[in-house]
Amino acid sequence: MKIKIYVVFLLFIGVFLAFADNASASVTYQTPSPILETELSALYSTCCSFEDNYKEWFYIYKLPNGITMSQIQMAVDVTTGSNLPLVVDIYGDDNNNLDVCDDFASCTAGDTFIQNLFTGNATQITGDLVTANLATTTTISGNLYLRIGLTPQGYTYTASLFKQDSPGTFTACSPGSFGTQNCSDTWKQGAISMRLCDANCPITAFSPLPTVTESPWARLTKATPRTSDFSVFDLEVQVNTGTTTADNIVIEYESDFQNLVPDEYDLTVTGLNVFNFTKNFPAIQDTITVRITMYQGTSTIIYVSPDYTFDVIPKVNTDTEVDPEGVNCESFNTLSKPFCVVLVYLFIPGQNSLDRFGNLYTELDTIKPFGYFTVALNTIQGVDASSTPAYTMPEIPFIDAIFTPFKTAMATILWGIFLFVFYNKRLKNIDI
Amino acid sequence: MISTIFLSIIYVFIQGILLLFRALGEIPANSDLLLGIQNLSSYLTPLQNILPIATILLILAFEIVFEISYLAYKFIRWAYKKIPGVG
Repeated sequence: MKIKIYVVFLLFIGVFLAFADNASASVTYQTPSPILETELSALYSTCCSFEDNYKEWFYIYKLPNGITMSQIQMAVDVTTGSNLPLVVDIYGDDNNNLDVCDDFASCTAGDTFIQNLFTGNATQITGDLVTANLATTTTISGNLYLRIGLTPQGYTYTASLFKQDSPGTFTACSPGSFGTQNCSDTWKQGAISMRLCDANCPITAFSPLPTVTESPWARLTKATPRTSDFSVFDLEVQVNTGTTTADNIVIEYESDFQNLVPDEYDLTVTGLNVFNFTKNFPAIQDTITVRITMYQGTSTIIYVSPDYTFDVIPKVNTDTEVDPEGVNCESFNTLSKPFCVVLVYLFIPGQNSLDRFGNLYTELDTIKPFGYFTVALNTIQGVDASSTPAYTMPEIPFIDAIFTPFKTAMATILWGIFLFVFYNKRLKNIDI
Repeated sequence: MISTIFLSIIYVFIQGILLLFRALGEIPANSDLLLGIQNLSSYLTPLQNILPIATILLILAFEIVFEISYLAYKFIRWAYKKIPGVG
């Protein structure tokens, strides 16, 4: 009886979360509602393609109609790209449409220049914040899209902007030290990966590009219906090798059906250079996974761009990758190699089959009613700080030393109790 | 191939369950419920420093996912048995 009441209670919560938002309610908050992540994501998904002369634009924020801007604060953290000129501007795009522009001129056509935030040599601001406040009481008719132009290429940077304090008014947030600001929901990383984007690509792809010697995996899937030319993969990589020529670069590929032999190139030049790689695949591919690895030296991969549009999906759980070495039958002798190939074919699942399970969680995290838990967890864990804490705990010496192990122990005990009770009281009574 | 087929069957089964939830749609932006949860979470955030609030929420979420999925499974099985000539 108790277990039935418990199950009904849980189902009630689930059904409530699934349908409660259809009901109207009037709630007054002391703090105004934040603009949602989903809204921002929608904006980022229609970003511009990369520009001539490597001027880069991306949309930062969408403002409601007829808004009066009072103050905007912005910060750009340039982490690489020394001795190169940098210009950071903010434009307003008041034509109610996100531009999909192929060059700098058409990007700015019809837009309103708001303020130049920085012009100078990047070495002056490397690793530092560029913060500027702008004040205008201009009432914007229609939507306003703020964009940042960076020129020329060669920078890895993060850029960010303001928060909404109340409907119709935007004021600056206090960033504090970069990366730990309370308004992190409104601080977006400007991605060099925009160079991979034309439309409908996630902003987080390849972002931020590494300043270390190894790049992340990314799956490149052609956005448009695939054609025969997808059997040839063209990759453009810009690399800053600095003053050393001791680097080499390895391009590894995975296709739907097999792992291909990596390509390795010696970088015999110094400075900022663009390399083009071409790989012929034995058949038309649905997806291609690429890993770019730099060896030796301290070179930086500035950007990676195929010649045509791709969707870029960060690869999840790279540690679970099937090790190509582990299924490589080349080391077997002539007699045993066919058996190895057959066994691998029969029992090693394709990477896509495994990756699909990893994406299930992503599919669930915005769907009712599970999405509400995602929102709550992100807020509590500080992933999405759109809701700043309603109060702060007093500073207690050694609080971390005491409560961190306590929390870990409590979490372990809670999971243990839950699994024990769940198995004994629920799974044993379940009717399949 | 065998592993891939086996995994695909599991995946299709899970997708079948998820199909029901997709019909509910995504959480609406700026809905009162969403804002209420965010607002409530902002009060729980400081407690996360001393108590495993996230763990408790995860357990609750896991339980609800399980119960709803099980209910969906029973519903699908019930509908399947209503097909003439089956069960």
